[in-house]
Amino acid sequence: MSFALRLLSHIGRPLRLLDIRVSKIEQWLQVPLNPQDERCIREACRLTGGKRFGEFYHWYLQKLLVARTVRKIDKRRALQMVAQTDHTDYAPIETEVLTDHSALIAIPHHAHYVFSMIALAERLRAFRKVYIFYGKPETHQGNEVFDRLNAILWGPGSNIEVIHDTRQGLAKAIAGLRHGAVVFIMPDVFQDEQATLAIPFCGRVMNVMLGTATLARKTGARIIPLLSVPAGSGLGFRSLAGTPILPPRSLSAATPEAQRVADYAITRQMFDQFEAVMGSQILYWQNMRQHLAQEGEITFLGEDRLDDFAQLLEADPALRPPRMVVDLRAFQQ
Amino acid sequence: MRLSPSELIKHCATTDRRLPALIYSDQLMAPADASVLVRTQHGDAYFSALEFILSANYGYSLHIWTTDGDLTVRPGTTDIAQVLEPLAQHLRSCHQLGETWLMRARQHERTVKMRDHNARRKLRLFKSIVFNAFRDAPDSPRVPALLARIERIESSLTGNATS
Repeated sequence: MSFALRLLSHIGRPLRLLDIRVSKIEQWLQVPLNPQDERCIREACRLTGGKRFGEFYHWYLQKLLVARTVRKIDKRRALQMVAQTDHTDYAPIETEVLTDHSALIAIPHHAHYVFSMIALAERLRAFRKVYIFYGKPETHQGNEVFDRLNAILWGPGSNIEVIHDTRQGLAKAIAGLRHGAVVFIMPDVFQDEQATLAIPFCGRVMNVMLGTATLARKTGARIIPLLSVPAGSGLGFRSLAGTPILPPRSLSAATPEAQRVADYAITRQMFDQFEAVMGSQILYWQNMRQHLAQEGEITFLGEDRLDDFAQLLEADPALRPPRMVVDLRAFQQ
Repeated sequence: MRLSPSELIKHCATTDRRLPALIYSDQLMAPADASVLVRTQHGDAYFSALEFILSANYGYSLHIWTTDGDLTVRPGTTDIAQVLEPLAQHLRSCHQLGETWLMRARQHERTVKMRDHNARRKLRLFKSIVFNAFRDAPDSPRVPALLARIERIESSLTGNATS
């Protein structure tokens, strides 16, 4: 890590002592907050071990420093920075990943997730083909950082390849997983809300794609939940691996509906593992404000009540086409 | 007394006494109250049929405020457009009041886009509830049956999202 970066990171530490909002700091960090943001951040601070509001400022500063550094760093310094800030014990992770199985490493946008991905991909590429799968920067704001990192760190011959969530990218991921590759995937984002399903997560409803589970089912790969958490001081991080999830083999012969239900079950298992850690560190999750801004939780029903509920929905005026359509456009001419 | 639209209609249907009614038309945008899709040059939105029913069926004359003065709809008007057009003007006039219009921020609830979004969200939630209920028995025959019911509702919404 460069001296300047380390210095800036340490200079920002007193921010953590603040428990009030300071508009000058928000201007400096270029993070305009509305009253709803403030409410969400305060709740996130409370859930994250009762931290003060300034913890958000400090964390945001760290993210800014990393984003700015990544834009202009070279390979040697980037790898050095990651190595110096890494507090991970890799023995249990490598034991899980370096088996005969292909692996889908599912990592949410939490804490220094980019560092965690770089560090682990660097270790694995000597043994396995590694793919990093993410949304195209054209449609997923902020993802250009991965393209940039790939250009400086890896490139041709590195055994690491980035693939986007396009038809071609998906085909490459499936082919790779069928041949023992490792694929990094970020399961906490989606492009089309209509394509998501809802799960309970950290006290709110969360929309999720079932794509990670579907990929695992189609390829027989194991899902390894991986979480980056802050560690030590400054930009320190630690990668934590969860319990691997292997979709049952019997699913390949199941009906499409049964496969979707099983994908949902696996997605929930994966997020339950994330929640076990993120529930008390939610301040460091990229989607924290958006997630906590929602109200209400999902209420699950037993099998015996589903038909009654379906009947209620069939009678729900909110789910019916209009009783009548009246065109006033001619009238208004 | 304060009445919901259905309570007012029920009152009209069960007694001959006609209560003078002050209707907050700008508050009638929930799916249960606003079920008529109105296409105007300013976009599509859901309106209530309450004012039309009161005029057509129960002899109410309607006095509707607009920035161009009050508009009157005669009792017994059976052409729904004759009622909805002044109501559309009324809402446009309300928009001109700016931030002082207390219901301004909630008018998006009557738009087709929002109605469609909320409906599909509700169906996705129910689908998630079904998937969750059968997590341990994904090949239950009840799953396709329940999903088919959801799809039937969903397909009835298709074509709704025009704006």
